[in-house]
Amino acid sequence: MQVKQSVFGLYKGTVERVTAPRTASAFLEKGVLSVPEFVLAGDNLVAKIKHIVAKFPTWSWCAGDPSKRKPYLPADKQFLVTRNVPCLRRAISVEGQYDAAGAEVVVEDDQDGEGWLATHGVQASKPEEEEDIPDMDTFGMGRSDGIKSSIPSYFSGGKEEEEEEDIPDMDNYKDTRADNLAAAERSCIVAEEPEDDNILRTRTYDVSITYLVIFLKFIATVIPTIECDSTMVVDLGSTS
Amino acid sequence: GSRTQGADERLQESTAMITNYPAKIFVIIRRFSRSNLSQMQKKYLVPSDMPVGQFIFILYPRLHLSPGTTLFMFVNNTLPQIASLSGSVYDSYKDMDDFLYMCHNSEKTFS
Repeated sequence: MQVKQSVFGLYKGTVERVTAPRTASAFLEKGVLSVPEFVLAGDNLVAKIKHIVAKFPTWSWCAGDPSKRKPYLPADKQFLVTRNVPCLRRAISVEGQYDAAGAEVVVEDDQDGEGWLATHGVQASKPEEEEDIPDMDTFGMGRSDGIKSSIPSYFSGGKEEEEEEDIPDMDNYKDTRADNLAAAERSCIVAEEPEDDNILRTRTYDVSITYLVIFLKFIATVIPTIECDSTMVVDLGSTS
Repeated sequence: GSRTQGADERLQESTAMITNYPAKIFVIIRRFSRSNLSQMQKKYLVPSDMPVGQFIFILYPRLHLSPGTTLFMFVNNTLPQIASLSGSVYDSYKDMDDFLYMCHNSEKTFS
Protein backbone atom coordinates (compact mmCIF):
# COMPACT_ATOMS: atom_id res chain seq x y z
CA MET A 1 0.00 0.00 0.00
CA GLN A 2 2.82 2.35 0.93
CA VAL A 3 4.63 1.65 -2.32
CA LYS A 4 1.45 2.01 -4.32
CA GLN A 5 0.79 5.36 -2.71
CA SER A 6 4.21 6.77 -3.47
CA VAL A 7 4.02 5.50 -7.03
CA PHE A 8 0.69 7.21 -7.31
CA GLY A 9 2.12 10.42 -5.83
CA LEU A 10 4.92 10.38 -8.39
CA TYR A 11 2.47 9.73 -11.22
CA LYS A 12 0.16 12.50 -10.06
CA GLY A 13 3.02 14.98 -9.78
CA THR A 14 4.26 14.15 -13.26
CA VAL A 15 0.84 14.37 -14.84
CA GLU A 16 0.20 17.68 -13.12
CA ARG A 17 3.45 19.04 -14.48
CA VAL A 18 2.87 18.00 -18.08
CA THR A 19 -0.91 18.33 -18.35
CA ALA A 20 -2.51 21.71 -18.55
CA PRO A 21 -5.42 22.10 -16.14
CA ARG A 22 -8.70 21.59 -17.86
CA THR A 23 -10.38 24.78 -19.00
CA ALA A 24 -13.13 23.45 -21.26
CA SER A 25 -16.10 21.73 -19.72
CA ALA A 26 -16.27 17.96 -20.08
CA PHE A 27 -18.48 17.22 -17.11
CA LEU A 28 -21.31 15.56 -18.96
CA GLU A 29 -19.08 13.45 -21.18
CA LYS A 30 -16.36 12.46 -18.78
CA GLY A 31 -17.62 13.49 -15.39
CA VAL A 32 -14.59 15.69 -14.75
CA LEU A 33 -14.53 19.35 -13.79
CA SER A 34 -12.68 22.21 -15.40
CA VAL A 35 -10.96 24.73 -13.15
CA PRO A 36 -13.73 27.36 -13.45
CA GLU A 37 -16.31 24.66 -12.77
CA PHE A 38 -14.43 23.55 -9.70
CA VAL A 39 -14.35 27.10 -8.34
CA LEU A 40 -18.01 27.61 -9.21
CA ALA A 41 -19.05 24.33 -7.62
CA GLY A 42 -17.05 25.22 -4.53
CA ASP A 43 -18.64 28.66 -4.37
CA ASN A 44 -22.05 27.02 -4.56
CA LEU A 45 -21.14 24.60 -1.82
CA VAL A 46 -19.96 27.43 0.42
CA ALA A 47 -22.94 29.63 -0.45
CA LYS A 48 -25.43 26.86 0.14
CA ILE A 49 -24.68 26.67 3.82
CA LYS A 50 -25.79 30.23 4.34
CA HIS A 51 -29.30 29.16 3.44
CA ILE A 52 -29.38 26.14 5.65
CA VAL A 53 -29.57 27.48 9.15
CA ALA A 54 -27.22 26.08 11.75
CA LYS A 55 -26.63 22.91 9.84
CA PHE A 56 -23.17 21.48 10.08
CA PRO A 57 -20.72 20.42 8.75
CA THR A 58 -20.07 23.39 6.55
CA TRP A 59 -17.68 23.87 3.71
CA SER A 60 -15.27 26.74 3.33
CA TRP A 61 -12.44 27.67 1.00
CA CYS A 62 -8.88 27.43 2.19
CA ALA A 63 -5.75 29.17 0.98
CA GLY A 64 -3.49 26.47 2.32
CA ASP A 65 0.30 26.45 2.42
CA PRO A 66 1.67 29.14 0.05
CA SER A 67 4.51 26.86 -1.06
CA LYS A 68 2.06 24.25 -2.29
CA ARG A 69 -0.15 26.73 -4.05
CA LYS A 70 -1.48 25.73 -7.43
CA PRO A 71 -1.15 28.66 -9.85
CA TYR A 72 -4.26 27.77 -11.84
CA LEU A 73 -6.53 28.19 -8.81
CA PRO A 74 -7.31 31.50 -7.08
CA ALA A 75 -4.93 32.05 -4.17
CA ASP A 76 -7.71 32.11 -1.60
CA LYS A 77 -9.57 29.17 -3.15
CA GLN A 78 -7.05 26.36 -3.22
CA PHE A 79 -9.18 23.70 -1.66
CA LEU A 80 -12.42 23.16 0.21
CA VAL A 81 -12.50 21.95 3.74
CA THR A 82 -15.12 20.99 6.27
CA ARG A 83 -13.96 20.36 9.79
CA ASN A 84 -15.02 18.03 12.57
CA VAL A 85 -17.27 15.89 10.48
CA PRO A 86 -18.87 13.34 12.78
CA CYS A 87 -18.19 9.71 12.10
CA LEU A 88 -20.71 8.07 14.34
CA ARG A 89 -19.85 4.51 13.52
CA ARG A 90 -16.95 2.63 12.08
CA ALA A 91 -17.55 1.07 8.71
CA ILE A 92 -16.71 -2.29 10.25
CA SER A 93 -19.64 -1.98 12.64
CA VAL A 94 -21.99 -1.45 9.71
CA GLU A 95 -20.72 -4.70 8.32
CA GLY A 96 -21.21 -6.44 11.64
CA GLN A 97 -24.66 -5.02 12.04
CA TYR A 98 -25.53 -6.17 8.56
CA ASP A 99 -24.42 -9.71 9.30
CA ALA A 100 -26.39 -9.64 12.53
CA ALA A 101 -29.52 -8.27 10.90
CA GLY A 102 -30.20 -11.55 9.23
CA ALA A 103 -29.38 -13.28 6.03
CA GLU A 104 -30.17 -11.90 2.66
CA VAL A 105 -33.35 -13.47 1.41
CA VAL A 106 -34.61 -13.69 -2.12
CA VAL A 107 -38.36 -13.27 -2.27
CA GLU A 108 -41.12 -13.04 -4.85
CA ASP A 109 -39.41 -14.90 -7.65
CA ASP A 110 -41.22 -13.87 -10.75
CA GLN A 111 -41.45 -15.64 -14.08
CA ASP A 112 -38.28 -14.17 -15.56
CA GLY A 113 -36.25 -15.80 -12.82
CA GLU A 114 -35.10 -12.82 -10.85
CA GLY A 115 -36.52 -12.28 -7.42
CA TRP A 116 -36.15 -9.42 -5.01
CA LEU A 117 -33.21 -9.53 -2.69
CA ALA A 118 -34.21 -8.39 0.77
CA THR A 119 -31.05 -6.82 2.14
CA HIS A 120 -31.93 -7.16 5.80
CA GLY A 121 -34.20 -10.14 5.70
CA VAL A 122 -37.91 -9.76 5.49
CA GLN A 123 -38.54 -9.32 9.19
CA ALA A 124 -35.51 -7.28 9.98
CA SER A 125 -36.76 -3.73 9.81
CA LYS A 126 -38.89 -3.90 12.92
CA PRO A 127 -36.42 -5.32 15.48
CA GLU A 128 -33.69 -3.13 14.06
CA GLU A 129 -35.75 -0.08 14.75
CA GLU A 130 -36.23 -1.09 18.35
CA GLU A 131 -32.54 -1.59 18.77
CA ASP A 132 -31.63 1.76 17.25
CA ILE A 133 -33.96 4.11 19.00
CA PRO A 134 -33.36 4.51 22.72
CA ASP A 135 -36.45 3.48 24.57
CA MET A 136 -37.64 6.22 26.88
CA ASP A 137 -39.08 3.66 29.26
CA THR A 138 -35.68 2.16 29.95
CA PHE A 139 -34.51 5.62 30.92
CA GLY A 140 -37.31 5.66 33.44
CA MET A 141 -38.71 8.80 31.97
CA GLY A 142 -41.86 7.61 30.32
CA ARG A 143 -41.83 10.68 28.16
CA SER A 144 -42.65 10.88 24.53
CA ASP A 145 -41.20 14.25 23.63
CA GLY A 146 -37.83 12.99 22.52
CA ILE A 147 -34.38 12.37 23.89
CA LYS A 148 -33.30 16.00 23.83
CA SER A 149 -35.70 16.98 26.53
CA SER A 150 -35.22 13.77 28.45
CA ILE A 151 -31.51 14.26 29.01
CA PRO A 152 -31.61 17.64 30.75
CA SER A 153 -34.51 16.55 32.87
CA TYR A 154 -32.69 13.36 33.66
CA PHE A 155 -29.68 15.19 34.96
CA SER A 156 -31.69 17.75 36.80
CA GLY A 157 -33.47 14.88 38.43
CA GLY A 158 -37.02 15.64 37.48
CA LYS A 159 -37.87 14.99 41.12
CA GLU A 160 -40.85 17.25 41.46
CA GLU A 161 -42.94 15.60 38.84
CA GLU A 162 -41.84 12.02 39.15
CA GLU A 163 -43.08 9.68 41.79
CA GLU A 164 -40.69 7.68 43.93
CA GLU A 165 -40.80 4.51 41.90
CA ASP A 166 -40.33 6.44 38.71
CA ILE A 167 -36.92 7.80 39.61
CA PRO A 168 -34.50 6.30 37.10
CA ASP A 169 -32.38 3.47 38.35
CA MET A 170 -28.77 4.45 37.80
CA ASP A 171 -27.45 0.97 37.10
CA ASN A 172 -30.24 0.22 34.76
CA TYR A 173 -29.58 3.46 32.95
CA LYS A 174 -25.91 2.78 32.51
CA ASP A 175 -26.49 -0.68 31.14
CA THR A 176 -28.89 0.38 28.48
CA ARG A 177 -26.71 3.36 27.82
CA ALA A 178 -23.82 1.20 26.72
CA ASP A 179 -26.00 -0.75 24.36
CA ASN A 180 -27.55 2.29 22.87
CA LEU A 181 -24.50 4.49 22.72
CA ALA A 182 -24.23 4.58 18.96
CA ALA A 183 -27.92 5.03 18.50
CA ALA A 184 -28.15 7.83 21.01
CA GLU A 185 -25.31 9.64 19.35
CA ARG A 186 -27.07 9.52 16.10
CA SER A 187 -30.35 10.93 17.28
CA CYS A 188 -28.80 13.83 19.15
CA ILE A 189 -25.25 14.99 19.36
CA VAL A 190 -24.64 15.77 23.00
CA ALA A 191 -21.52 17.87 23.39
CA GLU A 192 -20.59 16.93 26.94
CA GLU A 193 -22.11 14.96 29.69
CA PRO A 194 -21.20 15.61 33.28
CA GLU A 195 -20.20 12.06 34.16
CA ASP A 196 -16.79 10.93 33.02
CA ASP A 197 -17.76 7.39 32.16
CA ASN A 198 -20.73 8.56 30.18
CA ILE A 199 -18.95 10.91 27.81
CA LEU A 200 -20.01 10.30 24.27
CA ARG A 201 -16.91 10.23 22.19
CA THR A 202 -17.53 10.92 18.56
CA ARG A 203 -14.74 10.44 16.10
CA THR A 204 -14.50 13.43 13.81
CA TYR A 205 -12.63 14.05 10.62
CA ASP A 206 -11.60 17.03 8.58
CA VAL A 207 -12.64 16.39 5.01
CA SER A 208 -11.16 18.37 2.19
CA ILE A 209 -11.84 18.54 -1.52
CA THR A 210 -8.91 19.44 -3.71
CA TYR A 211 -8.69 19.93 -7.41
CA LEU A 212 -6.62 17.24 -9.04
CA VAL A 213 -5.74 17.49 -12.65
CA ILE A 214 -6.21 13.79 -13.27
CA PHE A 215 -9.65 13.54 -11.78
CA LEU A 216 -11.94 15.15 -9.32
CA LYS A 217 -14.18 12.85 -7.38
CA PHE A 218 -16.18 13.11 -4.26
CA ILE A 219 -14.67 10.58 -1.96
CA ALA A 220 -17.55 10.76 0.45
CA THR A 221 -19.54 8.28 -1.57
CA VAL A 222 -17.25 5.47 -0.47
CA ILE A 223 -17.23 6.20 3.25
CA PRO A 224 -20.74 5.40 4.38
CA THR A 225 -20.31 6.36 8.01
CA ILE A 226 -18.78 9.80 7.58
CA GLU A 227 -21.71 12.13 7.38
CA CYS A 228 -20.05 14.88 5.44
CA ASP A 229 -22.58 15.40 2.71
CA SER A 230 -25.40 17.08 4.55
CA THR A 231 -24.95 20.14 2.37
CA MET A 232 -23.86 18.33 -0.72
CA VAL A 233 -26.09 17.40 -3.59
CA VAL A 234 -24.41 16.81 -6.89
CA ASP A 235 -26.68 17.30 -9.83
CA LEU A 236 -25.77 16.12 -13.28
CA GLY A 237 -28.53 18.16 -14.85
CA SER A 238 -30.70 16.53 -17.42
CA THR A 239 -28.95 14.05 -19.62
CA SER A 240 -30.90 12.01 -22.07
CA GLY B 1 -36.01 -8.21 -17.12
CA SER B 2 -38.21 -5.39 -15.95
CA ARG B 3 -37.56 -3.37 -19.06
CA THR B 4 -39.43 -5.79 -21.25
CA GLN B 5 -42.43 -5.86 -18.97
CA GLY B 6 -45.28 -3.52 -19.66
CA ALA B 7 -45.96 -0.59 -17.39
CA ASP B 8 -49.16 -2.20 -16.16
CA GLU B 9 -47.36 -5.36 -15.15
CA ARG B 10 -44.75 -3.41 -13.25
CA LEU B 11 -47.38 -1.37 -11.48
CA GLN B 12 -49.14 -4.59 -10.58
CA GLU B 13 -45.93 -6.03 -9.20
CA SER B 14 -45.15 -2.92 -7.18
CA THR B 15 -48.63 -2.76 -5.74
CA ALA B 16 -48.30 -6.34 -4.55
CA MET B 17 -44.86 -5.65 -3.12
CA ILE B 18 -46.03 -2.58 -1.22
CA THR B 19 -48.83 -4.58 0.33
CA ASN B 20 -46.56 -7.45 1.28
CA TYR B 21 -43.62 -5.42 2.53
CA PRO B 22 -44.85 -2.09 3.91
CA ALA B 23 -41.55 -1.27 5.68
CA LYS B 24 -39.44 -1.74 2.58
CA ILE B 25 -38.67 0.23 -0.51
CA PHE B 26 -38.13 -1.33 -3.90
CA VAL B 27 -34.95 -0.51 -5.74
CA ILE B 28 -34.06 -1.57 -9.24
CA ILE B 29 -30.42 -1.18 -10.16
CA ARG B 30 -29.42 -0.24 -13.67
CA ARG B 31 -26.10 0.36 -15.30
CA PHE B 32 -25.05 3.43 -17.16
CA SER B 33 -24.42 2.38 -20.73
CA ARG B 34 -20.83 3.59 -20.58
CA SER B 35 -20.14 1.79 -17.33
CA ASN B 36 -18.04 -1.34 -17.49
CA LEU B 37 -19.33 -2.86 -14.30
CA SER B 38 -20.37 -6.46 -14.28
CA GLN B 39 -23.91 -7.70 -14.23
CA MET B 40 -25.42 -8.14 -10.78
CA GLN B 41 -28.62 -8.77 -8.88
CA LYS B 42 -30.91 -5.98 -9.96
CA LYS B 43 -33.88 -5.92 -7.65
CA TYR B 44 -33.58 -5.09 -3.97
CA LEU B 45 -35.90 -4.81 -1.02
CA VAL B 46 -34.39 -2.25 1.31
CA PRO B 47 -35.63 -1.23 4.77
CA SER B 48 -36.95 2.29 4.42
CA ASP B 49 -35.24 3.40 7.62
CA MET B 50 -31.79 2.57 6.34
CA PRO B 51 -29.48 5.35 5.12
CA VAL B 52 -28.78 5.23 1.40
CA GLY B 53 -25.05 5.07 2.12
CA GLN B 54 -25.50 1.79 3.91
CA PHE B 55 -27.35 0.29 0.99
CA ILE B 56 -24.55 1.37 -1.34
CA PHE B 57 -22.10 -0.19 1.09
CA ILE B 58 -23.99 -3.46 0.81
CA LEU B 59 -23.90 -3.31 -2.98
CA TYR B 60 -20.15 -2.91 -2.91
CA PRO B 61 -19.00 -6.52 -2.57
CA ARG B 62 -21.56 -7.65 -5.13
CA LEU B 63 -19.92 -5.61 -7.85
CA HIS B 64 -16.46 -7.15 -7.35
CA LEU B 65 -14.80 -3.77 -7.62
CA SER B 66 -11.07 -3.63 -7.47
CA PRO B 67 -9.70 -1.75 -4.46
CA GLY B 68 -9.52 1.97 -5.06
CA THR B 69 -12.57 2.03 -7.26
CA THR B 70 -15.35 4.36 -6.28
CA LEU B 71 -18.93 3.36 -6.78
CA PHE B 72 -21.41 6.06 -7.67
CA MET B 73 -25.12 5.49 -7.37
CA PHE B 74 -27.32 7.95 -9.19
CA VAL B 75 -31.00 8.54 -8.66
CA ASN B 76 -32.55 10.74 -11.33
CA ASN B 77 -29.09 11.85 -12.43
CA THR B 78 -28.34 13.00 -8.92
CA LEU B 79 -26.07 11.55 -6.29
CA PRO B 80 -28.37 11.12 -3.30
CA GLN B 81 -27.09 12.27 0.06
CA ILE B 82 -25.70 9.16 1.66
CA ALA B 83 -27.03 10.01 5.09
CA SER B 84 -30.61 10.45 3.93
CA LEU B 85 -32.94 7.57 4.60
CA SER B 86 -33.75 5.37 1.67
CA GLY B 87 -37.43 5.87 2.43
CA SER B 88 -37.23 9.61 1.85
CA VAL B 89 -35.20 9.15 -1.33
CA TYR B 90 -37.86 6.69 -2.46
CA ASP B 91 -40.66 9.15 -1.73
CA SER B 92 -38.92 11.92 -3.66
CA TYR B 93 -37.65 10.01 -6.66
CA LYS B 94 -39.72 6.88 -7.17
CA ASP B 95 -40.80 6.22 -10.71
CA MET B 96 -44.34 6.15 -12.08
CA ASP B 97 -44.40 2.41 -11.44
CA ASP B 98 -43.54 2.90 -7.73
CA PHE B 99 -40.06 1.46 -8.07
CA LEU B 100 -36.94 3.43 -7.33
CA TYR B 101 -34.39 3.24 -10.13
CA MET B 102 -30.74 3.66 -9.30
CA CYS B 103 -27.97 3.82 -11.86
CA HIS B 104 -24.45 2.89 -11.00
CA ASN B 105 -21.11 3.84 -12.33
CA SER B 106 -17.60 3.40 -11.10
CA GLU B 107 -14.44 5.39 -11.31
CA LYS B 108 -10.84 4.68 -10.46
CA THR B 109 -9.63 6.98 -7.74
CA PHE B 110 -6.76 6.10 -5.48
CA SER B 111 -4.79 2.98 -5.68
